[in-house]
Amino acid sequence: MNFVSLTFWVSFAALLVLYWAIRRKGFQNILLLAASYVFYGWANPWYAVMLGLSTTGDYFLSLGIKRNPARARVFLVLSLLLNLGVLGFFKYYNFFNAGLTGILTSLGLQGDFFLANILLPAGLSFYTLKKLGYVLDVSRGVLEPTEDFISFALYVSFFPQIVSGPIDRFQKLFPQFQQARIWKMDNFYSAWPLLIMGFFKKIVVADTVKIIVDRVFELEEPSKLLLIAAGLGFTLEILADFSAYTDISRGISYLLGFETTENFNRPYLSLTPTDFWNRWHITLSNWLRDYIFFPLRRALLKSRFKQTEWLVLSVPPIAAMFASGLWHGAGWTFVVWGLYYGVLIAAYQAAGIRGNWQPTNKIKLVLAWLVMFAFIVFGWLIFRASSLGWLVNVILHSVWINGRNDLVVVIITLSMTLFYAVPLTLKIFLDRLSSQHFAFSIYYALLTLGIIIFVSSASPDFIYFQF
Amino acid sequence: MKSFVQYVLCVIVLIAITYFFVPAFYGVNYPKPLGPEFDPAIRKVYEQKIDQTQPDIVLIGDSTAATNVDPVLLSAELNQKVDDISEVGAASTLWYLIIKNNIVTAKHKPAYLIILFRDSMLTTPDYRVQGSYFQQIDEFANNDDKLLIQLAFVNKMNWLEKLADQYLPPYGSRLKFRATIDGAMRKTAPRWLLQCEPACVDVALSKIFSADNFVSKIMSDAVNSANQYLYAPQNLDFEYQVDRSFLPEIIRLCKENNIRLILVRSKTFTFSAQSPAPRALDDYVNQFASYAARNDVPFIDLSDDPRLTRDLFLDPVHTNLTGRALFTHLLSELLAQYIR
Repeated sequence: MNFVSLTFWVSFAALLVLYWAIRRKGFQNILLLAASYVFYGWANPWYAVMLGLSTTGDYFLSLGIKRNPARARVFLVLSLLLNLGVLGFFKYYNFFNAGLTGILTSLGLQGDFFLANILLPAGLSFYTLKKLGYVLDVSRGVLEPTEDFISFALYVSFFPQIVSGPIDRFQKLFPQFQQARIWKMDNFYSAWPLLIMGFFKKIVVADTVKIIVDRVFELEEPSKLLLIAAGLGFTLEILADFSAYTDISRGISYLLGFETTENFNRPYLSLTPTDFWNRWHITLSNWLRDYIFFPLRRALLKSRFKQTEWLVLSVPPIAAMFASGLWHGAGWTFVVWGLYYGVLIAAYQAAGIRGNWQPTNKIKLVLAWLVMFAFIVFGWLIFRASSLGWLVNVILHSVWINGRNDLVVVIITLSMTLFYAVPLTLKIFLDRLSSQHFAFSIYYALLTLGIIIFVSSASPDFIYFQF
Repeated sequence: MKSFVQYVLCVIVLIAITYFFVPAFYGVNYPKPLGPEFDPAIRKVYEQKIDQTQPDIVLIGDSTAATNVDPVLLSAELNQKVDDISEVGAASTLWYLIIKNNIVTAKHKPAYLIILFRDSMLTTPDYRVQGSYFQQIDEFANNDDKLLIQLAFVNKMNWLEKLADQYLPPYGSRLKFRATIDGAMRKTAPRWLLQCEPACVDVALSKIFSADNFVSKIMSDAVNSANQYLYAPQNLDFEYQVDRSFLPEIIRLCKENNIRLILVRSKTFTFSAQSPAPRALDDYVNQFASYAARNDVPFIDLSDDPRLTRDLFLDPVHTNLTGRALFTHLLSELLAQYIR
């Protein structure tokens, strides 16, 4: 079920009435859990079955870690095998898709049915990281495993987050599941601006810019300028698309009485790669930082390599970003995109420009921003390219501009990107005003008008569904 | 609380403004009848062509018909005058409109009308009616065609869309709003910076985004992905879909005008051993064949012909030149039994 569908909102309205009518937190949690499984299994009930099985597995493994400390390592390894095995298998499905289909077909099974309809559960990457974080925290003694299966299962499957995050920590959501919840109008007042912003970014900005961006990336050999223009378009599209999902997810959570984590904080104003990852997909960055970056850095500092500063500086970010690339997909474009950020972070750190670096004057500030923005756009080119070969070919062999027709298309692409970026840029300035300011109301009313004009009954999926 | 109330008031004021703006700017008064607004003019290009060329057989389809069938060869093999009026991007809605407003209105009535289609195309009236396809449809339609509006548009609307379409100008006239915004996007900057007028912009876009410039695999994937709608479970439920489609009306129009309708299902490679066709497609085709037989409409199914191999196709649906010749030959062999 898609957040941008009437079916979802009608079902959600019914759920909301029932949920707030119940009043008892235990029943509210059961209702939310049931709703989450219906939401997740809507496209294919097998998704929900798989989610239930893996959740049950991790629930008992984490309890095993607590109850049987002598065998904690075994339970941890089993959980890692379960989660990384399932994630790895499905992520790299494309590599063995044809072979596996052949085997299934030869066994008299309709291979396509199994592979296309069962073996590609949306949101698997998101809920796997949630479960992994939980089990790792339990094994490190940071977290006491819960015996409340309903709350644990609800944490993993919480429907506003299951398909595309945010990847909230157990420590953030579990206490909220344990609290009594009664309806307050404040829930609604926190939710409505997020919902309108989310719908606007998805329906008006992302889905519109996507049309021309997709076309350029499907060309055999676009000119370099056209590629840059489409790269700028995609830079806007992916932010609008992904942050829209987060906004809607957070808005829905507020309506249910929960506060979830903000996932984006003006990422394109970043001055360094570390700064960018502190602002972009924040919950994923935090996960990578806490479970890959820091443990690796600590291990290196304790090892015989501790004197080799460049190694301590470069290996953790490169490994964390490599994992991020792999997490996004099985293609080489994602792997290289991850490594690209790893190398960038290491290079900036080697140059003495760390995450908290601040320029000393405005010229340096503008230059640092421009350089970082160029790096971000180039990163998205790698991410969006249909293949690395295609991108390398365009960079090495394509002309800068291929005549007047090409220039016209470049101008159209840039003007579309600029036009649809204006409302999001305006929001940065509006955020400096009080939320009670009249300008806010006019702004959101105009966004609503935009949504009504651009809404279509056939909205494409959110980009991040595929991860 | 205060900001939400202010917001609601602002939305009400903005919508109230559109009640004055839309009639003045777009000429549409609210509340309006359900469905899109069509331009009153109807393009008569095929009516004129048919009257001019006086064909015995008219072939209609989408790009598949244009690439897979060679009308000259077909004409020679059948010894009949053949006119191909296929349109790229067409589907059953556009075919219905061309039949109703161009073919049966021509002074010269062709003896045969062949529709070349793929799988469930003839019973999915909402396939290829939005976006740029809408402009294509608008050329052959006007607001008097209630059946068109009902089958291709209104039937797919939910209660909320129906309400908004009639009473909410920003929604009901959203296509016009979007056309204005898109037009400004496409034309303003090129005009200022390059003195490139709208016609020049259209040429630039069509040249840069011509089919030859796309990565063939991506094009093939795009064709496949767009076609997936034809295989959605509800679209393969023939009994449910047929009365909600233009097929009965197309049959009626042809019979009323003494035009022998022949339906031809084209070969596609959308599915493979690795990715088999949904089982419901077989049931659909069987029911389609029975329906055609009940209505005395010849149905030719080329989809299973083993002589049409994958190497004869450029992508899952379009043949290459060798494939075109073979496809035309096979079609003419099968048509011969119905055409005298």
